[in-house]
Amino acid sequence: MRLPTFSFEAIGTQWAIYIGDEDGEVSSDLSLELSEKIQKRIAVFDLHYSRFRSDSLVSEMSRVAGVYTLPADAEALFDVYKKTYDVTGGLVTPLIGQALVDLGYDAQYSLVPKTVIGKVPQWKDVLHYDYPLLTVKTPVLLDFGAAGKGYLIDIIGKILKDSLRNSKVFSFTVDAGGDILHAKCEKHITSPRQRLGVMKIEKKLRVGLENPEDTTQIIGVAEVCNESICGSAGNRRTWQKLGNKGEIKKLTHIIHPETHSSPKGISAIWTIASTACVADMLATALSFVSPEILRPHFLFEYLILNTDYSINKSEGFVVELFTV
Amino acid sequence: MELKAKKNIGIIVGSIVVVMISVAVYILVKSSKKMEVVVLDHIDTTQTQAGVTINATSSVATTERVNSHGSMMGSGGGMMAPTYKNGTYTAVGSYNSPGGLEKIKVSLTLQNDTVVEAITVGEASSPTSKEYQAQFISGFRPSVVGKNITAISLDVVSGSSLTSQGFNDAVLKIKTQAKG
Repeated sequence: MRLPTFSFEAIGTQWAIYIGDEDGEVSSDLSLELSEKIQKRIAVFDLHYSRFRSDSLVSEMSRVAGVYTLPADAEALFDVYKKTYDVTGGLVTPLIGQALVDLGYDAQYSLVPKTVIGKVPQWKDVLHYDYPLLTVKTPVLLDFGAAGKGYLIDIIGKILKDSLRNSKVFSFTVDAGGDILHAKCEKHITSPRQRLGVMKIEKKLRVGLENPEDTTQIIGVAEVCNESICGSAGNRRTWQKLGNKGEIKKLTHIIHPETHSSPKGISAIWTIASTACVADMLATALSFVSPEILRPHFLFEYLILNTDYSINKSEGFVVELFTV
Repeated sequence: MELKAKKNIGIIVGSIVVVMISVAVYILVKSSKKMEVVVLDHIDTTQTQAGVTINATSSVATTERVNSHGSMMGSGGGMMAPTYKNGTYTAVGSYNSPGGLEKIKVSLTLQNDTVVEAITVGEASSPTSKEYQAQFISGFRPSVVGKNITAISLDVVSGSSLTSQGFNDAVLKIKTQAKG
């Protein structure tokens, strides 16, 4: 694996940005400038949507009811959440925030579940969304864990695309803790033989699919090009809760809003979509609903690794799987 | 890796055998007719949970032994002589559907107790049967195993978030150390 052009830590994960490939590299000045620009943008996003900080917009909404004017970047995020909420019958919901906190997935990562877990409210009971306005009828803690990072990756991708517009370098990869956006964009160039040509990078991005049960291994290699691949697995964030009958329930950050339990039988899910926002969202949604339910509403490919190492995948998910 | 593959074999063979039997039961349930599986290899008889008698190849007949290997997962495993003869095991199942007699072929290739390949080929003739066969063939895929990450040429790794970069760094370190 090559070294990133620059990397940093933000919103609880490691970010690695790779700029240029066969099209060359960017200068260290531009690299530094982009690194700063991107981290500033992430800080703004965090201040709006992080439930892990008390000064964020969503923390404010968890304390005070009222009509909020949403920031400019909220529209696409709320739209995809509302759509997924409706398509999954409320199983994927930003209203899961308080339940996650009660289960121990809080700002301190206490991972100690409370005895009573807050009921996840219905969207229509607590929210009225009509961009740019969001009416919070009752204080509620919103959680954008399902697609927030993916959406942020897209925002960073847009910054990179705009910044590289006038540069000879045009390809890049954004890797936010294993959720990846790849852009190789074509570039129109003038060549001596041809007045107007198109420069392309033919190479696809080879993405190792990590084995959740042994992270020194991968179970296959996916190839993506000008699209995003996101993964969802609970292996690195696991804790326990005692069930009603004294049984131990394994919890991850993916929580069913009604049963307060984490999905069983699935080890990891990968999704490919044109945006990281949709790929990230559907990687979570597939924990709760079958691909057929999502298919009519979103363009995506998927690969599900079950706990018995069997695979379900869509035909269009380009991957070399290791079966030996 | 060798050991890992060895340990996984039980599970892989076991689950594929289970899938093969499920396939048989599935067809039976869908067609609600008595089915008969024609085999090309050693013939044995096993009793499925549904109480259906089917004929199966030698690889299927050893289900129990395979599973007992699988249940020993984690208790370590040494190098043993292959339990199964290398080769491709093929079984053609036929069953009566409302549209007439239909066939489906299942192939397993074993190499040193490892399933190298598992393929189902739908050979249905009626459109309804074709649809049913396509349904379970798409759900029947070979199980995967992990390969060591340093052995594969990659650009990035996708998995659970949080520490993926730490993981990438660790891999870089391992690679650097390995180069001495």
